Amino acid sequence: MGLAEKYIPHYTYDDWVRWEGRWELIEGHPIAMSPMPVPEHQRVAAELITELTLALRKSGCKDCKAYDSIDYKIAENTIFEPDILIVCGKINKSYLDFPPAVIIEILSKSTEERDRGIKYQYYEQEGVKYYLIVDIKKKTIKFMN
Amino acid sequence: MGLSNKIIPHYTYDDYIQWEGRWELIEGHPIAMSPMPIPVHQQLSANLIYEFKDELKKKCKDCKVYSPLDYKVSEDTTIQPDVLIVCGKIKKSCLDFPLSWLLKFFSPSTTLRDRNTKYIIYQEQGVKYYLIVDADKKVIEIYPVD
Repeated sequence: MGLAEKYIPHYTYDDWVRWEGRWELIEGHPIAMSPMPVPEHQRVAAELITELTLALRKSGCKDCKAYDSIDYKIAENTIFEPDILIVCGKINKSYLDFPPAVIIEILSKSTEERDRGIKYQYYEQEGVKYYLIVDIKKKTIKFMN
Repeated sequence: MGLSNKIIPHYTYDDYIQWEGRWELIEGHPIAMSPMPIPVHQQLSANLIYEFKDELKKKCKDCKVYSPLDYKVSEDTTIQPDVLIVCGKIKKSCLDFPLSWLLKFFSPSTTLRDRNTKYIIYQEQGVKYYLIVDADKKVIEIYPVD
């Protein structure tokens, strides 16, 4: 049909901020994050955040903190919600608008292709120092850069 | 950074029903609907529904008024018209067969899509009449869909 091609809106942050439910935005396209990730995904995320928080505390680093998923606004039309982040410096807005030091994505069937592909491209382009991918099935954590 | 079809998902009805918020689905693309309709639209909607119901009660047992409803046109297209007249029983949680009358409230942000894309969809589906209500101009445009 190809109807939508002519009339699909190109969404921006101002649209995204009004939407209900959990959505990412990639170059103006809405990407649904519902339904919630499976319990195993959430458990692994919780364990990782705990480890990271403890490690940061132990190291005495006052500047960097570990975060559960927050909105990372890369551009007016691109907003991601990484699973775990380590951010050095203060976040003054309701979203992050500068590159974090670390991003960790936990793979799931619906997100794997994007996590390995376009998100990797963007995170690298933006200067995210470390990007890690967690594969629960294979029990691996891989540094992407 | 041009995006391939692999990166942007092609959503279907099964995805659509899990979304929160007010959305439509056109050829696999999520289309955000404006937030809850303004009071004027709600009033107009209520009045029109009343008028339609009244007329149908007198003349037709088969057709009923609905407002609004998920109209599942195909696996990757589901829209939410504001007011509908459907002849025949709706057995599922959505409408999945062509209907008779379909009404949409005009709002500046949706006009191109409502007039063009949706008209074509309704035409293909055999919808008999498509009405666009402009609350500001106090005008109803009636399009017999042929």
